[in-house]
Amino acid sequence: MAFNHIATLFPCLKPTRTYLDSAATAHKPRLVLDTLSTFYAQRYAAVHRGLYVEAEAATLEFERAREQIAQFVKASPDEIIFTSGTTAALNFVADAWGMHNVKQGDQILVTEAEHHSNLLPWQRLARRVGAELRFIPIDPVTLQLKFDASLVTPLTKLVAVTQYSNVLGPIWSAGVLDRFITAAHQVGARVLIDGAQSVAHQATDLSSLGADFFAFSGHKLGGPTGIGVLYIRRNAQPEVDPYYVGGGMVDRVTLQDATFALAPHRFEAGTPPIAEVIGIGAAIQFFNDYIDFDELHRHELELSHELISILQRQPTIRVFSPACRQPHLATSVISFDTSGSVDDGIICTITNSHTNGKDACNYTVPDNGSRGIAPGHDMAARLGEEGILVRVGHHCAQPLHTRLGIDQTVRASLFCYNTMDDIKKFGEALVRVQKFFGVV
Amino acid sequence: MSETIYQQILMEHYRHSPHRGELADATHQCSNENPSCGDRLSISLKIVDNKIVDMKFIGSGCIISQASASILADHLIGKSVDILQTMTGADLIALLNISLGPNRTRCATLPLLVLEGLKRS
Repeated sequence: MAFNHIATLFPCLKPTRTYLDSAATAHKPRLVLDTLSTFYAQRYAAVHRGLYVEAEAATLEFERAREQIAQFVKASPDEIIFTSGTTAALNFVADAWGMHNVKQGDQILVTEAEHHSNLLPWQRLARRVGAELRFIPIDPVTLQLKFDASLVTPLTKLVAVTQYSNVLGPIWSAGVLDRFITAAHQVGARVLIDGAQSVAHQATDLSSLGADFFAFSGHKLGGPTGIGVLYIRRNAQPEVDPYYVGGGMVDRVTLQDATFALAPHRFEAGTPPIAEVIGIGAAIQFFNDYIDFDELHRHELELSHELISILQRQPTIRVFSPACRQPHLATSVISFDTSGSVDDGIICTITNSHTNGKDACNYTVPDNGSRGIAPGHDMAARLGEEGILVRVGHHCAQPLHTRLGIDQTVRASLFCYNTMDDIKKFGEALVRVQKFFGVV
Repeated sequence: MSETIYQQILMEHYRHSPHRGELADATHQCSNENPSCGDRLSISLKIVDNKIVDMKFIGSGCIISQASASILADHLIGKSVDILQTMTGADLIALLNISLGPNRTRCATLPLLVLEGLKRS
């Protein structure tokens, strides 16, 4: 498969703008755009209710998208629930399942590397019901999560973890996630996996993964914004409150009472995001037609290796990736710190630490001396001016950055449309930017 | 070279600001940060007879936030403290004289955020 050809299928990609921010959001293949616009222009109708030809056809197209998504992740269509995104899906599980199944004194286990969307709902749930939030620690050197049986106890009711870090990429050491899932089920806990960053980069097999809940977004797959998928395992569904109630999810309604439809419609009140569902179906069609995950893995391995090598040639840059120590690991996200705080003395940054008892905020502020440094935000901004599009900040993972001892990272991320030429352009621009800021 | 917000004047303020440091005889001092990006500033002022006689800053973080502190110091020294009541973030951004997008506003206005927390030492 010619990965160079893939980029030509994405109209919004421009040759002068090297897009390395797909972990934030992915561009759309023409197939998705055409499907959306022709649906709206030629086939648009309500779903699930009308009896005329157009409504029946739209219903079929909508439910076929659900089936395609189910097949893509090896689940059953009645286990595929549509939400407005991964964040909405995770909040939904916390409210519709968590509030009814996690009690005072119970434990919820997450990792230190979670995106805020898979952390805050559990913080809030724990506060609301009086449960304890516990953490699988990330090793700040290997950047891996290790198995620790003591973290899963008879009090554990939920293990909620990311499959793939949006900052560090592949953080699970081999077999570790499976061991946590097995341990969780042994104590009767449910397992939630945040698949937002993994679905577009590796084959997802929910028939063997063991997750009870799995969430991902359409827009990170090259589908439209505003649509996400929540997988709820069939045997977990009785534990989940419908939460959104109203039209579209009912069976029989009187003035005082209502009975509800079966899954999946049970969990999808109101007019669904019809076009968006059909759009995410088209995104998955694109993956089915054009992307072999084994070949994609080899492609990402090649690109990420080269990108990491380029970064490591700069003495002031620290790369935060498990692939640094495990070169066989492919990664689609590569985060790095450009503040120049290295221990080997090549560049010194923090020279003074000022404390002042009279300071109203009782604050210690380091002085960076402002010589020959490219702070992360400025590195990213200047790279943008050079046509290299990356992300900087904590990437909605503040606790992770605190654990790593850094304020922020610059992040380059890959998608199926990136090529070695993109990496080459990145490398050339990086050198220019380092010179521009007087770092080299 | 592509167009840039990192103009010569801005970079001079970042690299060689005459206002970097701490005032030995400060009358006022405060610090603050942008937690989302790690920009930090600590500002010391000498205010005599309602006039900002001197101002210095120390800190770390992005070029915009640090240069902005220096440019603000240029602007405030010699003026009445009343200016702190009326000066807005937009005023400070205008002083930078660069084309700043909405995602960089907080960097540029950090010095004013710091001065909002002013207290007599």
